[in-house]
Amino acid sequence: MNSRRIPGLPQPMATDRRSVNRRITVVMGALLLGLAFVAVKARRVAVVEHDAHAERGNRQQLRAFRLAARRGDIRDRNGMVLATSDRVHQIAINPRQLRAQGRDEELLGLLVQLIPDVDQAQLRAELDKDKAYRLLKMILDDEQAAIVESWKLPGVTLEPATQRVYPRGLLAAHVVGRVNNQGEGTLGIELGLDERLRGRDAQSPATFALGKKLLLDGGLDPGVARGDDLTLTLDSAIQALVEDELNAIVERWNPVGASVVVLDPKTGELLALASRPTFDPNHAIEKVSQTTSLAVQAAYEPGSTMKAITVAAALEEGVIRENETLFCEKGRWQYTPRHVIRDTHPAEWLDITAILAESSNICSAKIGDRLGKADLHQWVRRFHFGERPRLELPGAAPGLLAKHQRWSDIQAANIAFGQGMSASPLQVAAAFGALANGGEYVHPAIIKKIHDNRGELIHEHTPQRERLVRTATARAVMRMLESVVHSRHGTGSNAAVPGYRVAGKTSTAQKATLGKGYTENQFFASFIGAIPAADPRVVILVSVDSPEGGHFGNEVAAPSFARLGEQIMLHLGVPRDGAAPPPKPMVVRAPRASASEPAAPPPELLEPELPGRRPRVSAPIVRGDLPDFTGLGIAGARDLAERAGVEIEAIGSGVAARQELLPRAGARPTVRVHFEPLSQRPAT
Amino acid sequence: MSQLGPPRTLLGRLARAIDWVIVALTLAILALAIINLNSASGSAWAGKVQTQIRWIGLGAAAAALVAALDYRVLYRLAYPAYAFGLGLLALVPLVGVMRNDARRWLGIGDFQFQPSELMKVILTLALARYLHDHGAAPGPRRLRRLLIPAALVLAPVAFIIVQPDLSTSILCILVATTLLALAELSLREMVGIALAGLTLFALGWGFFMRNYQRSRIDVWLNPEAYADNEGYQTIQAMIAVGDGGFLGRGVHQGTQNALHFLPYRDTDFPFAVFAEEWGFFGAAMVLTMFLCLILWSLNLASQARDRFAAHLCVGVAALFLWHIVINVGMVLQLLPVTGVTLPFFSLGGSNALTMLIAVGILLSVSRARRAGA
Repeated sequence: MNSRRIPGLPQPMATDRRSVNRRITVVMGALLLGLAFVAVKARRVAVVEHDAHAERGNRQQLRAFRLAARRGDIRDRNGMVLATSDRVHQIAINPRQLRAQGRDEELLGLLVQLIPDVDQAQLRAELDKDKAYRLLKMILDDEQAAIVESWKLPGVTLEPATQRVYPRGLLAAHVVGRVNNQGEGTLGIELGLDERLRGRDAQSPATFALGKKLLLDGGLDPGVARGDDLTLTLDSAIQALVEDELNAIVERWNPVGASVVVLDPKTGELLALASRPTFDPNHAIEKVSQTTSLAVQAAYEPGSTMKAITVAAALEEGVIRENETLFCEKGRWQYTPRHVIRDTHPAEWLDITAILAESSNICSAKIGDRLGKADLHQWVRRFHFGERPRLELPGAAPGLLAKHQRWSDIQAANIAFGQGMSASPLQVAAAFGALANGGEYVHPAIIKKIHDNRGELIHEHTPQRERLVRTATARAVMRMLESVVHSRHGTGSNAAVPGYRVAGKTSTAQKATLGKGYTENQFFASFIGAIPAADPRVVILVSVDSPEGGHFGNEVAAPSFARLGEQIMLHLGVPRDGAAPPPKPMVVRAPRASASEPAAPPPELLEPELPGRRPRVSAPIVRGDLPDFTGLGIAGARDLAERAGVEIEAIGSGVAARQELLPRAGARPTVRVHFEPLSQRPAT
Repeated sequence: MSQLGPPRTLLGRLARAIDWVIVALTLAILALAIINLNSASGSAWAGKVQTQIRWIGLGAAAAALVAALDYRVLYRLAYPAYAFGLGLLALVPLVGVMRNDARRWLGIGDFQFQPSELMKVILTLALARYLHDHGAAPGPRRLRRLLIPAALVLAPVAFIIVQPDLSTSILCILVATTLLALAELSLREMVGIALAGLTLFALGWGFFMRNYQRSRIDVWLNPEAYADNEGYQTIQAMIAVGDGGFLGRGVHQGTQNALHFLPYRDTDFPFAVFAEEWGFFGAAMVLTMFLCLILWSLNLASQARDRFAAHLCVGVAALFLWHIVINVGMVLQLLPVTGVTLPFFSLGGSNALTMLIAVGILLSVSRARRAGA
């Protein structure tokens, strides 16, 4: 070995190799010891304590994962969406962090760029807060959220949110209702079935990782976290007609309020329900008064409508006969020393039909007298007055009906013609519906179906029926009520619907003001009717509270009834009536000139007016060898085709406008009928 | 040692020149490390993993180059390399890249590396040479003789500690001290240095340490009290190791890893991922391989022709040893949490390059031993 020192090159080791080797051995020993120590510890953790650690790991992974439930949808009976929830995004910011990093101005600029109409002052205020978390109000869609994501700003995160949307806006606003900013139902069905709509938040034993990445065992069923879907009994098309008509009423009469109820008397299903004033659920409520659903939540004196019920009760009890005539005191009846009952159309003798047609208060009171207080009360109760309707709509008014023991004599007389008690338009419509439905009361319903989060039907409306009067009695009253519209003396002539017979009743109730009694100039005008009278498909109640420039039900409410009736019949495709003669009212006019004239010449028999302006289809009008379908709705056309023994091929919707014979293919001739919406037809 | 005579072919000579023990161990560890790194970063063989593989390729080329050199060339290069390393460290505060509140990187375009990592091996080189040139001198051993080696160590450490990078600083000091202990120090001096170290630590604790550095000790001693913040890492690492059991859960089957419960899976805590997925068996296997590598290099040191070669081997062994001890100790909660990497397993290009160069040095020394024996 070379022992010379060569500069720039390492020197071979000399004598101290032993010393180095000894030290290395020591180090090796220490190293082995240390690694043995590490190995022991590793074994203890990995093998001995394995179960405890593994369990702890599982526990933190299997934290239950919550997914906030998506609120259920509300649809009309045809599946049209009235309320739904969008999954949207909100921006959460950390104002402290943003300011500390000097990125607040940048964020403000970007947000203004993204949403030009954003409230900059408010945004600035949020950014200036000494907080670590602020949730900004603005709602972002997926696209906007992606843009925010792309900014990659510190202290800016996106949070999922849901937004309630009412695609049809004002349509059926009172029925559908509204949710507040916290997603709680505050009005309408949104409130009435809030729990169902809200659903339960999904709890899934999902594998959860650091709040970032989510790996689901088997996946989270997105359907779990959602409320039930509701299908209402409302028909959007009818509801839209009603909303338009109410707008027209507001325009024409400037009333305090107005409402329309459209009810299917056979099932109790409410096809339309609307009130004025109203609100747009997509925007903040301006006045609380807008949110009151007058049709359901307000109680009015029902007025003359009650006469139909009084008559039905009296017929059922046998205290009057259908063809009986009552003396009507020539329009003024000193009922008690202090109370006078008056009629608008003074008369001496009226039969029952005429009492209804002319709306005689005096004779109604007489019929009420015959029933007696207890029976009258019982009958009014039987028609479900004075009790809260069993309905999912919140705040339904029960109306006021005092116990008969507490009735004064004049009050008893008043109740027979619908004053001295109160009821909501809904209650009135439901009670009238019992007469229209052959004497069977059907509880009104607003919910048709409920589907749960898996789409399974969990509730379907089944009509709850209750027989109140015999079918014959109900039919008799309905026939009498036809004369209200279709006789010359009828008080409801304006309610005539072309092509259909209407059984209805006007009502013009003086409004009582608290503490002041009845007012002279405030009226509650309404018209209720069933159409077609022989086999009613709908009951329509139009109520107008304190109209300006008119006050009679026939003047204010009946024209709206007529327009709605016509359009609804077309929409439902109800075939026009055959010409069944209505009962003829017997009227003996009270002499106006002198009271000494002999009473009552033989009752004048009046030919009722033919309802409608267009020719009725009583028999097919033959063109060549084909029936004429023009002017008919689809159902009417089907009906006629059936009778005429032809096949039809319907195109479009609305009213039949044209028809053509197709080349004969089968055993029966085929006609193609083109239907067009009514509004497109030239006015006739 | 019986010799079969020099092989005739070039391939044969090459095969004999290579220390296959080191190569085999390194390749085996690298293979496991890359599989683990891929698992820890999402099993996609993408992004970070690809970058790491490229760095390993670069490191392997550097190791081959170093191995091809006579280690006596390294002897000559030791001081110039030291000056170069120090220069790079000096550049860091001026033009370095800031990441996570620390300025440790030098960047040229997308290419970024940490001079402090490279400094670990350069320091070993310089110290090995100094201790060779001035060590084992006859006469009384004065403490003064340690001034220059101390300065050699503390100059780069000063740059590193202000980055700040306490872990790398401590690691440099530990490696240097180990080298000194093996080459130079008497028992008394070792005790003295240990005492001085403790005093310094106590002073640092009292006056210089940042709160986060101090709280790490608290957290280490009682992680459950900080389970939701600082202790979270430690607890999750323990759960990972414990979850692995004896045979592990299988690659990318570890829930602590795959579900991202364990933070810093690929940088500081890959060993926890490995332990969860390969179990105690796998962890022990890797530690054994590392141990073999260290023992082999110490064996090389004891057989070295000269002190320089011995110092190099000891230095490289110390480099691996301390990385492994501190990192694994941290995972197993034997030591507080620091940012010391596990060689080859941790994501980080500079570190992989450095450790592979260290392997190259071992190969070079080993080749000289065979050639010259």
